[in-house]
Formats: sequence, structure tokens, C-alpha cells
Amino acid sequence: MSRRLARRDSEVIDRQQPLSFYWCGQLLQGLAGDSLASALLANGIKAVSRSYKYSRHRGVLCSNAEEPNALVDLECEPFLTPNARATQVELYQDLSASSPTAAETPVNRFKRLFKPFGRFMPAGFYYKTFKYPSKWWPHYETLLRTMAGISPSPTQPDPESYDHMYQYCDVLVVGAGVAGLQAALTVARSGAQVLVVDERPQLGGLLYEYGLGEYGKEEIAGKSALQWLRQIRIVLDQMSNVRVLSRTTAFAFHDCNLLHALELRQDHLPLAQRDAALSRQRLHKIRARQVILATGAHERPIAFHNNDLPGVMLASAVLSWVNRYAVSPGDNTVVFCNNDSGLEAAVALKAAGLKLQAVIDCRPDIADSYTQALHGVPLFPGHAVQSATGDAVLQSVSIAPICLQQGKWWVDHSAITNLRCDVLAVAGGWNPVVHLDCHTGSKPHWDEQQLAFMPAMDKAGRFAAGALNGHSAVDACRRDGAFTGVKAIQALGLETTAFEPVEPQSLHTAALFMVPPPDKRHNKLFIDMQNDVTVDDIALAIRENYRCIEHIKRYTGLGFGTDQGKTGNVLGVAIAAQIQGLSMSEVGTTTFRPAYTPVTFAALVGQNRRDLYDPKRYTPMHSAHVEQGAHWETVGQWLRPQYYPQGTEDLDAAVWRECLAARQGLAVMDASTLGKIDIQGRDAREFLNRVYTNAWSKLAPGCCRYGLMLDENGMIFDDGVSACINENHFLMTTTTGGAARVFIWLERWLQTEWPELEVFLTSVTDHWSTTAVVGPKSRALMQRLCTDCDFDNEVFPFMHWRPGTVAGIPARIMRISFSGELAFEINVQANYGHYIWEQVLSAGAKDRITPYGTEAMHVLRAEKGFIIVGQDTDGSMTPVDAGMQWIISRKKTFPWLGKRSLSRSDMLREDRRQLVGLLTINPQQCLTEGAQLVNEPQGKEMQGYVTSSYMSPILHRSIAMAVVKGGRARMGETVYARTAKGTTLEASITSSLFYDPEGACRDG
Amino acid sequence: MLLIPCPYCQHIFEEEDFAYAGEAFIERPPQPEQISDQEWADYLFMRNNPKGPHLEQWIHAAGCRKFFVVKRNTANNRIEGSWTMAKAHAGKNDLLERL
Amino acid sequence: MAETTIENAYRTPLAQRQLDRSGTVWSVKERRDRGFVVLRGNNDDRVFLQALATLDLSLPQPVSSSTNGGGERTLLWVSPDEFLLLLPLPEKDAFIERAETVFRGLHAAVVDNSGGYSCLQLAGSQVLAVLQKLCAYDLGNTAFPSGRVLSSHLAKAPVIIHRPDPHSLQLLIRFSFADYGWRVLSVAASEYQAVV
Repeated sequence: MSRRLARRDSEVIDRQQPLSFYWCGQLLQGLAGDSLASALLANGIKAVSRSYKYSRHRGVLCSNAEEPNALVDLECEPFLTPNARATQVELYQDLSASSPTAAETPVNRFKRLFKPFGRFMPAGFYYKTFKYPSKWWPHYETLLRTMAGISPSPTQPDPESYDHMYQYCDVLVVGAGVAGLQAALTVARSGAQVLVVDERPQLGGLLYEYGLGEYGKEEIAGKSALQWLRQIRIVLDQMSNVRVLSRTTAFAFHDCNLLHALELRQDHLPLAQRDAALSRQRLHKIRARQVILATGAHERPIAFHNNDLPGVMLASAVLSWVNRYAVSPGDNTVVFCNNDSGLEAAVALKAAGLKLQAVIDCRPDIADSYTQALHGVPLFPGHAVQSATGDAVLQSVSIAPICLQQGKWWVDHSAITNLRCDVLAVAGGWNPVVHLDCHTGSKPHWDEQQLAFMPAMDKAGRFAAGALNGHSAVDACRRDGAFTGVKAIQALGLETTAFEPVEPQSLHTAALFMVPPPDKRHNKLFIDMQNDVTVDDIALAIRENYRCIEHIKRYTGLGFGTDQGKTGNVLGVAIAAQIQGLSMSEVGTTTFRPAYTPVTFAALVGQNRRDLYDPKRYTPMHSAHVEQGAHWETVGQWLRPQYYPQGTEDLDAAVWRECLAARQGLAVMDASTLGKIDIQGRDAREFLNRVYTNAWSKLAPGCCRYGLMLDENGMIFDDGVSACINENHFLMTTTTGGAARVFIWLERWLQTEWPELEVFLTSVTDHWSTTAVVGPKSRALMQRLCTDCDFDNEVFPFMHWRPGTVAGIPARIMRISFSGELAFEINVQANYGHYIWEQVLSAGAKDRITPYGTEAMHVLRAEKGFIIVGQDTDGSMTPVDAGMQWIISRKKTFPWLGKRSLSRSDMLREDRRQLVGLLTINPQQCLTEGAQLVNEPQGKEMQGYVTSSYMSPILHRSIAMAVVKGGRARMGETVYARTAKGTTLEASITSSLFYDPEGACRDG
Repeated sequence: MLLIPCPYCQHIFEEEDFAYAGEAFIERPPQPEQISDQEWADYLFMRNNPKGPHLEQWIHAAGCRKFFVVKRNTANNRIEGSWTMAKAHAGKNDLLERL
Repeated sequence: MAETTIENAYRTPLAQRQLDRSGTVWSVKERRDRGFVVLRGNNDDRVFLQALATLDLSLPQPVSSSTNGGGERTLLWVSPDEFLLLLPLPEKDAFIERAETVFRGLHAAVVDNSGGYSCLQLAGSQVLAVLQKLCAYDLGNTAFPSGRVLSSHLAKAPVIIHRPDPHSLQLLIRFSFADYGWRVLSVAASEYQAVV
């Protein structure tokens, strides 16, 4: 059965391209140009879903973005798109859609059982019912979650791609309706760069609904509306300074004229025809010097008893179905209105060939011109629909006389007339689409004349045109568009001729938002369709003292759905105002936030997904590590080898071997990731003195020193070795993860507090690659590779550096050791890093040189009690806590960073958490990092926790570092570590210097 | 996302290229050891939080890496001026008076 | 085990990728012949400016570049006291030595950062469209004419972008970010590439 009407000029469908599609598994026919909603209506399908809470039948209410009911699931995994609005889905061949709420699933059937008990489940029902007993809440929550929501989330990765694009223009026009198109043309003629975006596939906005009518307002600049539209499109297409993006929704307006717009590039194409080389959707990030908002207006419904029956529609929606899609949604149409646009709609529908059963107007008089145009249609001025009836779909309405007395609407429920109808076209007034203007914090203001919330437009760089500005007549919108275009040109500083402003036309809207119901019960007057919020719910919220509109919203759920209350919020405000005796302004609106319509996460992420989610940083030796079979650890953004398993080794076995090689033979590690900062200038030493805890004045060229950096709270926040290159030249190293943070920290002090110091800081992290050669046999290897440097211990002591030519490459060789073994770090320009690594491996082959990774590095340093900032410290540890009093200079005169805080009263407490070592009583048991420590096996008072824990190959037992309250005074005491599994391990507090306490290994 | 004028580069750049760096003109006490713990804590933690014009520091982290002072209205995010550190300190009294 | 000799020991960040693409639509090449030297000194310090002149370099304007040495030496303005010199790789060491001598005693510094960057040269009719997906600024010839320098981000990686001439753009991506930079460029360009 097809409800398709005869051909009309305004239709956007292509009768030469029939399409077949699937609805809930059923094969149906449609046409190219249909939306899913229009195709369903063409097939006579009016009920498309069930409501979320009460499982009531719902139909298509609107025809575009404001639709609350017709939410569908498109396609299936992995192309599943949940919660799509059928009114905005473009039909394509083989499209498959279904209603998640109407489907016969166990959850849905269970939910329907509650339908008769709706009156016992008002707003707040969940908060009050599922409170007792409180320990059952997790179970209640699981149950509610399975019943809540509309569509399931996709579980498989999305195979389609998405991207972002930055755009810049002089003027962005949002909305290509009559006003927007005219504004764009006016601006473009000045030569400015213009970008136009519109959410629909066709341009023209509500011209299709209200620009074509019979009522003498259809002419635009002397032509028919469609002619005008065709011509302006051609002109704009030919202008090289104009770009028009259709299917592109501007969904967010941010500071400084940054707008985000989502372009659906391929959503309208059959799956099989989509081009995988192109993104499916594109997020445009647009910076415009001036913005013209021509976003139009949404029609409001009017609330009455059972107003949610399928078949109750906005009058503008019925015009859409008829004019754009040539679909008659029903056989008997009744129009119910409180303003002139409803009467215009009635006239247009009659002219389009629909059978109009009646026109109901709550205002006492209908103008003669309308009466004449509607000759033959029963008219009921001074009447209102007080209830709708039907079994799953609309079958009739009951109307009654209504009048406004002393600001209150009175209905004579005794004088009822019943009218059979299957479509009720409701025209309850217009809400300008103010959303984008509000995103930057402005609040719309209620206009008593327009009976609408008008946009504040109080920020510079933006203008409003057309219906957003309160215009309704089509040519007035055009003239307002031209006027606004001129203002935008002037704001750009360009010359232009003046244009007269246009006064908004009145629709003589009556302030009827809700029709008093027949039996005084307001629980079937639906305000928010998606969340089943009724007039009763709003009254309940106010009775329970949730009086402010933001509280009413949250208590009832009004405006929370995917439609964000586009059709319901203003009605809700009106009801709240009525109940509390306040004005609309006094109640106000809730805060408008992006996005205007839902945006998929994939579009927000763009191409920054999977491997490209965050940069991966590689050292110059990366390919060598890959060849060696390294397993990786991510440190910040860097990929570092964690261990290099050989054969069937697991992590523990590999680390065991790597550690022993470093202590007993020869090992090598890539340490290129550390931050490196070049420090030069006359005041370099003074600067280092101020940022480190220890003294740097006397460090001679060729020497290195370990430095500890504190924040102004006295807490350790980075460490590293700095080398003196020359009298006024140092090279500082930082931790891998702290490099950027430290760099900005140093610049901050230099620039904002000590600008008189002559120091330059330059990052050279990427310039240098570092190959650390470690172990008793490291000196011999260095002597083989580098013949122009004397490696004798007396000549080249620990914590010194020397230049040398290593395998033919100029290098800085540093004797630094994080393992406590004899070690040499070969620093060369990164371009030679891979070569040096290979040369070292080659030269060390006969000593079975062993590459080792971060895991082994962690064990080796722990055996020596060296801290790792960020592992053993957490931003709340001072050097004294860490047992590093030795690094605090007593002699420096300048109050260096962190010094003052060290003498705060809290820092002098005896029971501060102090870094100590732990040795388990059973040496083969290993404590878990993070395990809490207590004094007795069942103790509850936390003494501290384990910061680092490893099996030590060289000691054949486990070792751990921990922070313990007053730990240093408790050497030898026992503590207990509780694991998540519930076991308890006993350990003894010791020094954290577990291996080679005299440091004999250091010099080899 | 703000557009911020860098007074060193003499161009306007995207907020993403900058990092916020707190209230401007916070002076480190020259003799910290002579002030009380409370006064030291005030220096570390107490900041003005006006609804309206605010003098604050930003660093052009992705660009010239320089710190500078911005006058931003916290209520509407309008930026009313930016100054190099040198110019800001030279005109500090004037800037603070006009806040 | 050593496969490389000292002659081919020098590797640019993307050396292994064989990434060079030439096409009218999208062309990308990693330069292998440039050294990168950072010069520090204040652009309103007369003495420093004299020192630059001694080194045959002219001071660039903010966010711009100057070219000397017959076009072979380009000095990029990074900040009022930081300048990045791109020069022929074989001349780099000698230049640094000379600059250190000239700067001695001045509030100025030389820092070798030749291992710091991958230098990509981009050209083709779709270069701007590709970069429009990754960089927030208008890089067309009107807003970003020849000689202009921009330090910002390429997707999430730090980058310095320089326009040497109306037909091409130079991207300086830090060595450790180069692989990521290359990949985001490839993904962004895939839509426009007729020939791989």
C-alpha cells in the first residue's frame, strides 16, 4: 500500500529511482530522495517505536533534527549505527533499519508489563523505589541498566574511516534556508570568502514547507520560491569565493568563532558503494572572522491528553511529508493551532489535495482570508483538542471550547465534539534554533511578542538572520538575510551599500502550551517524549522542591534525551512557569551545550585512532631492537625495549639473564629517550644552583654530577645527571617522561622570575642518541672501539666525560652508572645512533654482549637503592623522606627552588613516610608493587606501601623498596604486606642498598 | 578554543599551541626563610579568582616558548590584550589598576 | 654482524622507509643533505646582530626566514632569541666551530641540533588539502607566503613548517616523532593519491 501522492514541483524524491529497504526485517519500497521516515510513512507505517519508560506506542512527530521518537538502529555489526533519527536518515538501496524498542526482545516484553502501572512510576520513581535495602543497589543497577537505554552500543571496531579538516573563511553562514542563502550571496558579492553549511542534503530550509503556499507570500523577489532557489544555487556554485557543504551540521560554537561541523560524506550511500579510500564522515573545524547564524526555527507542539499517539505530528512535518516527499501520512487530517502558521499549513495541505477533517484554532477569531481559503473545511475557532484516542495509533480527537480568562485557559469539557482523524497536525508556535548562540555562555531571552526564546546574540563577530531572528514570511527572511549580509560585510571592514532592516511579522500566537485535560489528571500530557516526562512529573518535581529549571530537568529527565528537548523544553518551561506563578523569563532555560545533534565518537577522534591515537616516539636504534626480538614498554610516548627474550624465555627468564650479563660480563642498553637540555650562558652555574638541591659552582669541565630537582612544595619531581661541557656550558639530562615538564619549568623560572640571568636553554633530546655499555668487560670494549681516549680509571674517573672517536664517529663518552657497574655511555648525533649500536654489538660479540631493556634496568638500579622518580616518588616525597639528605646543600646562599618548603612544620614530623628497603622473610617470595603494609598480620592501620619489587638475580632473592611511616627508625622491624588475593607476606625493614654497598663494582 | 595573540611572534595562534601558566605578577618572596609557613603557603597556593578581567600568564609552548601576560575576561573569555614579560612588568602598576 | 660501513653510517629518521613519492598530486621527499644548528642570541642585541653579520647571516623577521650563502643557508626565526639554521651537512662542523669563536664572550650560544630533525619537502596540487587535515593554520600562499615560518603541531607531533617557495613546503619534524609524522601524512594523503 503506498501513500504516495501525485507529482509536485517541490518534491525532492526521484520517481525514476525506486529503492528497496528493510524495516524490522520486512522488505519495503521507497524512492531515492526519501528519508527513512518518509519511506515508512509512504508504506503506511506510523508507529515506529515504544517509549522508554512506559512502553507506549510512538510515531514520527517531526520531520528533521528535532524528532524525539523515531530512533532506529541502522545496519548491523560492524556497521551498526545506533540511535539514528529516521527523519534524518537518507534512504539508500538495501538499507536495513529496525526499532530497538519495538522489537520483540525479552527485555522489551518485560518492560511492557509495566505499562498499566505507569501512574505508579512517575519521575523520581527510580530514586525512591530502589533505595532499600541499600546493599542491593548494585543488583538494581544491573537490572535497570539492561532495561534502560534505547539502542545497544556496537561491540566491533568500526571499519570505516573518519577525518578532520581545518577551514578558514571570512564569513561562515550556518543554515542554507532562504535567509542563509541570501546572506551568503550578499556577502560573496563583496569578494569575501564564504562558507555555507546546512544539515540537509537539499538547500532551502523551510522554503519547501512554507515558501510555496497559496497565501500570497510565496513570491521571493518577484519569482516563485522554487525558481528563486534554483537560481541562487547556480549563482553561488559559480562563485569561486563560495563553498557550500550540504549534509553538514554545525553542532558546536566555541570561543573566538570556532565552529565544529559534521559532514556526512558517505552515510547516504549503500554500504557496497562506499569508497574505503574516503572518510565516511568529516569533522570540520572552522574559524570564521564573522558568523551568520541562519539556523531557522523548530515548531512546538501543544500538550494535551494522549498527545503522544502515533499520528499526532507537527504541522510543519505534515507539510514536509506532502511537499518534499509527496506522502500523505493519513486519510483524515485535523489541524490544531494557536498561531497563523497553522492556518497557513491548513491552506497548503488543502491545496495539496489532503482531506482536511477540521481546523481547530484556540484563538477566538480566524481572519477572513483564511476562512475563504479554507472554504469547505469545518472550522472551530475558540476550540482546542482536549484529548486524543486510539488503539496504538490515532483514531479520533475530542475537541472542546477554550478561552483565556485572566491569564488562565478554561476548557468547557461538557461541550465535546469528537472528530475521527488519523493525522493531527499541531502548530503550537515556533522556537528559534538558538543553540549555537548559547554554546559560548549566552542565555536566550523570552520575547512576549514572539512568544519565543530569542537568541541573545551578545557576542562580537556573529549575527542572526531569518527565522532565528523571528521572521516567518519567506520574502522577509530573504530581506533579513541581505540585511545581515551587509552587517557582516561592514564588520569585515569592507565597503557596501546600506540595506533596510526588516521588522519581524507577527503570527498572532496565543500562549497556549497545554490544554487542561478532561479529568484533571496530567499524567498523559507528554512534554518530553523520549524520557516519558509528563506535565504531572513537572508538577511533582516542583512539589518536592526541585523548583529551578535545571533541577526540574535533572529530577524528571526533561531534555535529557538524544533530542535534547528540542520539542519539549519550552513547553516544560511554560508548565513550570504556570505552576509556580512565574514568568517565562524568570524560569529561564537550561544550559545549552554542544553537540546540537549527536556526533559519533569516531568522528571526534578522526584519524587519531589505534596506532595514531597518540604519537609513538622511536629512538634511532629502533629497527635494531625489532631485529633482536625486543618486547616493548611504553614510557610516555616512547617505545622502549622492555626485555629481549631469547628462545622460549618469558619476561622473568630474560630479565634474569640480562641482569647477570650486566653484573658479570657485558651488556648494552639504549638510553636515548632521556630528556637532554643544553644550558649555556654566563649565569649557567647560578641557574643550576637555583633549580637543583645541590651545588654546581665548582663542577669543572669534564665532570658530571647527579642532580635532584624539587618543586616549590619541596617534593622531588625530577632527577638526572648533568655534565659540565665548558665553563659556561652544561648538558642536563632529565627522566624520559619528565623532559617536557622540566623544560617548561626551567623556562618559567628563567623568564618570569630571573630574567636578569644570562642563560639559554635548548632542547637536544632528539639530537643525541645514547648507547650504554655496562659491565666488568665494558672498559675493554671501549678500548677496542675508541683509540683516541684513555679509559684508565685514574685518567677517566667515575662521573666524568671525555670526547672520543667511537668506531669513527665523534662522541661524548660519559661514565655514568645507573646499575652500579662499570659503565660508559656513548653519545653520538642521532643519525649515527643505529650504526654505533651495531658496532658495539659487533665488537662485543666475542664477550656475548647482551642487550637489556627497561625491566632489567629497573632491577639493577633497585639493587643499588636508586630511586626512579614517578615510581618510588609520587610527588609527595621530599629528599629527606627519600633518605637523600646528602644531596641537600647547606652552603648555597640563594633560596633555591624547594628549599623553603623543607622547613615547613609538616616536613619535620617524625612519622613521615620514608623510603626504605624490604626483604621478605621467605626470600623466594616477591612482594607486589603497591601492596599495603601493616604492623600485624591482621593490622588495619596503613604504615605505607611497596613502591618497587623484583627478584634479584645477583642476590638470588627478592628485594623491594617501600615507603613506611618513620621507616628509617625502624630498621629490622617486621611489616606485613597484604595482597589482593588475601595472602600476607612478612618482610623486614632494611637499607635499600642491597648489593655492593661499598661500590666496588663501579670502577670495574 | 581561544585564539591568543603572541606578543613575540606578533601573530595570533590557536590555544592548542599554548599552555596556561597561572596568575600573573606573583612574586617569589626574596627572603623565604624570613617569612612564616602561612605566608609561604599563601605564596604557593593563594590566587585571585575573579569573574571578569584577569591578568594571567601563558607560554607559547609549541612556538617561541616564551611566557607572556594576557588580560582575559574569565566570564566571556574575551582577550583584551597581551604583553611581553618585559613590557608587562614595566607597566605592571598600570595594568593592575585598570583591572 | 655490522652491515653498514662508516660511509653509509649516517641515517636520517625516515631513511629506511623509502618514502620518497613524486607525483603532481602529492610529492614528498626527506632531505638528507641538511645540518641543523640552533643559534641563540637576542634579536635586539646589536652585538649579536653584528656577530650574525660576521657569519654572513642576516636576521630574519618574526616567524619568517632569511636566506644567505647563495640560497644554501636558511635561517628560521623560532623566537626573539632562537634561530634555526639549515645549511649543507658537510659544512655544519666547520660552521659550528666558527660560530663558537665569533660568539665567544657574547651573550650568545651555538647548539648543534643536526640529529634533531627529519626534513620533509612537500609539493603537489593536494599538499594544502592534506595539511588541512593535520594543521590548524591556513598554509596557502596568501596567508603563508614564501619565507614564512610556523611552529605548531602536525596532528599531535611538534613541527616547524617553512615555505621556501610558492610551490613547496618544508616540514621539520623531530627525529623521534618522524615515523608518526610520516604515518599521519600518509593517512591524510591516501584520499588524494592516484599513484602510490
